Amino acid sequence: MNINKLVTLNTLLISVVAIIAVAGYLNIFVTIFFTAAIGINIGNLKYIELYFPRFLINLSGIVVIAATVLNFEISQMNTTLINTLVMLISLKLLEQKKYRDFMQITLMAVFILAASSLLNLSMIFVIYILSEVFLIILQLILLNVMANNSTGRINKRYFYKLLKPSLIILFCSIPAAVLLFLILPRTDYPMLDFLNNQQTAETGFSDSVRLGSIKTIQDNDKTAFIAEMKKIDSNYLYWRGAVFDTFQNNQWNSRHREKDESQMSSSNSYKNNTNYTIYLNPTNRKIMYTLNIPEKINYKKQFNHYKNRKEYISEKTIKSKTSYEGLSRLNKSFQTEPPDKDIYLQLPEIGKEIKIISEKLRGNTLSEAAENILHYLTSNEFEYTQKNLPVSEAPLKEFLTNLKKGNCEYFASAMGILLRLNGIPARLVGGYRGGYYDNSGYYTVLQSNAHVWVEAYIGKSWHTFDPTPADFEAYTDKSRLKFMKRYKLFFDKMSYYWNIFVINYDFSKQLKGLNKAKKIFGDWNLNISFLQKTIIFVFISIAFFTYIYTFRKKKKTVNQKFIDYFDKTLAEWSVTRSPGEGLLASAEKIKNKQISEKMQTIAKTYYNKAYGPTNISKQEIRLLLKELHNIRKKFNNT
Amino acid sequence: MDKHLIKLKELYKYFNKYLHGKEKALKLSLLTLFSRGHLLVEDVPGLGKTTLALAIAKSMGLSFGRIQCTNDLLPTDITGLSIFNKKDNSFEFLKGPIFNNIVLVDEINRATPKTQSALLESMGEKQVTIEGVTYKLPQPFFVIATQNPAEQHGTFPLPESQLDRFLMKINLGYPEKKHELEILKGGSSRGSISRSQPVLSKQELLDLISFIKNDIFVDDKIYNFILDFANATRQNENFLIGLSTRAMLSIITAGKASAFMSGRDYVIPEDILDYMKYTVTHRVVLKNNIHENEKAEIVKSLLESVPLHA
Repeated sequence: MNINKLVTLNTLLISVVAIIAVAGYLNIFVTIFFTAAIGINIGNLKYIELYFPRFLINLSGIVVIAATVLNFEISQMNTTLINTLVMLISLKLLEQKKYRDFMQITLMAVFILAASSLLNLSMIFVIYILSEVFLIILQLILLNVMANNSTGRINKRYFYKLLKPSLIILFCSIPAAVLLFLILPRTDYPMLDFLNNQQTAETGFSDSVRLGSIKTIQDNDKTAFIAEMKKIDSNYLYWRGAVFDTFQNNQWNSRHREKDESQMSSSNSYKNNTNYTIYLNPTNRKIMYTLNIPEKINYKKQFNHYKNRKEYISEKTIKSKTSYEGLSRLNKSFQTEPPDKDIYLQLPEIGKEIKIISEKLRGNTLSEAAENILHYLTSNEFEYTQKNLPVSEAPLKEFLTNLKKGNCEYFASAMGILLRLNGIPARLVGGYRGGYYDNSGYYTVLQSNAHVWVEAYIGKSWHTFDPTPADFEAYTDKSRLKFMKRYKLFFDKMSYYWNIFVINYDFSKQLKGLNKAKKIFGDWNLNISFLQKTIIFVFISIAFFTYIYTFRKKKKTVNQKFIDYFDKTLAEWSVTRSPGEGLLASAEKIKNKQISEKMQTIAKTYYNKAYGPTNISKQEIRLLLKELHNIRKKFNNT
Repeated sequence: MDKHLIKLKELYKYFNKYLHGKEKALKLSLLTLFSRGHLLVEDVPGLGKTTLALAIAKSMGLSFGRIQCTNDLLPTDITGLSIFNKKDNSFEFLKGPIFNNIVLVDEINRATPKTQSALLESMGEKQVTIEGVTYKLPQPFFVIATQNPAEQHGTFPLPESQLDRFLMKINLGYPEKKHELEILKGGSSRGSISRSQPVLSKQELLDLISFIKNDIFVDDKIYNFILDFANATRQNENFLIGLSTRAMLSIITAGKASAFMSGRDYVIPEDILDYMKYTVTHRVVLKNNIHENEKAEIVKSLLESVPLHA
């Protein structure tokens, strides 16, 4: 391959790796422009020759920078700058590149990658940086080769020879990096995170339950948190967040949190206790999530515990990845002091229709009434949906009497109101339902797992009721996830290990991980089915034969390679050889006698090897190529 | 190989002494002789063809015969005929001029088709059959035929199929001024040639020819190239008739001889390519609408378009 092409290819790789690292932050137009630039470059490698004039590129660069300055906002500084850099790199890719251009592109790629670390620091960054470092080392070596001989060709062997030092430098740098890793403080907190706060604003969980304003809820695939624990019965997978006590203007809010005692409860030992560690992604809220029903949590920072509401509220807004340990009792009820009836029986103005329904559901006892309400809502009469939600002035009436379709917020609200109409103190609990268990020992809870359920005070305890008839298997079974979500879970896993190994550096956990990996690998080996074996076998054989085929083809073309190079050399002395012309005859046409003689000798040697009775070896061809190369060099010097 | 090359060197020494300005003609003649083929020379008379043929014959101790073709020349004038011998009371076969190692056939296109075909047949078969008896022609057997391109009146042009029997058709041209001057000063060297001693015996020549036939290596790449080229002539829109298989065989034989004369025991593309214009041009037939003068050009451009096998 031509050295120039090789450098171009490597430059493309370098830019692509850097851009993938920041892909999530790119403007759609920037992405399209960059893709187009890459496309044109790939075309230039082989099929077309499309370069833009330098003045046009420079002008566009100035326009881009001007646009950046005009759109500059301190809160989005990082993203803006990354987009600008990607634009500049794309523009640079479009021109006919020389040594310095390749260097500039490489440098910009390094900037982009560095910028990406400011936005988001996760395990995958290691992969980006390793591949980028390797490519850049290779790039520097290739550029040096190119500087010495800009038209030279690089054969496979020579390329491998260049590859070797690149790999050696890379692997030598790893021990140094490990040393730095041990010395430098580790953080999961992107150092300039305040620059991109807006990314944490989206969430599936909300501070209030509001009915009748949104028609459709979009699935939010972001990870809310990871809970490291053993696998439990999925019926108990309720992650408690906030308690909503007041329903007003079609909206449930937490108004009376402060009236509750805020204190640490003493640790009681119950049966069914479950320990867990939560790795919470930044939420920009104060609410902390716990497994229902929480007994206590262990958190390094300040927080409040509302005993009767079982709420845990952080003192400060959670703006970075946080982790805390928790202890919960897997149960559907818990005892508290009797609740304030003014709060938990509060009702807004209710229409007649709803009152009629609540009359119908009245039972002999309070618990019977609650059961009736639950049965009524979970009966076939009602349908769970996230689309075409009831939108009206009185959405609850619309839901109960007319549409009979809704999401968990409607079901929970309806039950809360019906309970209160029947004189049962009730409240809504917002949090998450379900989670996807990974066999390495943790649940991944996505924003799409956000859920609202009901608690009713009957007897001396609060009882958990979930009137939503949704199919919760879908929220716990990984195999029912879409591909993209599964892909997401994979990166969550990487993130999880990053947290364990890097952020919460713990050697015993590392060893545990190693053992687990070993175990997984061992199990994996045993679990290959016959079909899988066949597929692997077929795949390997195809790869093998393809290799042999290409290898043989290569061997055939060694002579062709020589002839091509011979023609090229002839061309430098303005002799063109038509395909049917002999090498010797063409060499005789060279006017410079000395060169002509040398070329004739080379042609004769080649003929001897190629047409003589003995078989030609690659080594001999290589020697001839070297001789040709020397002749060309001599010509270039004089 | 070396043994034969020494002989070749001696031959050249001999020719350098007696022949001037005929290097190209000499080389092509020897090449044809070594390839066991025949040569057709298209040229005006008086350019030293006879001297060349004589020198070749003398240098190797070969017999030399000459046939001057006219339109009343009979086949028996070439092959010979049986004459009644009164003494023995039987027919006796008198060999014609064809029973020589080297035969110069002057102005072959003046002979009638009947005579031409008798000659050409004997060239191909290397034997003559007269009145039911087959007579083998002497070995080696080499015909140099000439055609006069200037006088077309009263001639019988050789049919293309017959031309195929000639390995090469060449065009000598006038000798260079320098050489012509030497010839003018020294006079014809024919006399001294007749008195010269051969440097090569007939047997040595036959050994040399069989060596070329059997011991020169031809790579598959060469064969494939010739096949490609032959196919190209057969498929080319300008040609009515492309190269025959016999033509391909001749090309390879000539290539072998060329390799030997360059001191190689293997054939390189140049051995083939350099002689293509002599070996190919007279064997292909152009379509009617294309003029004969363009033939050489068409063959040349076709030749350049067929890539060598690397």
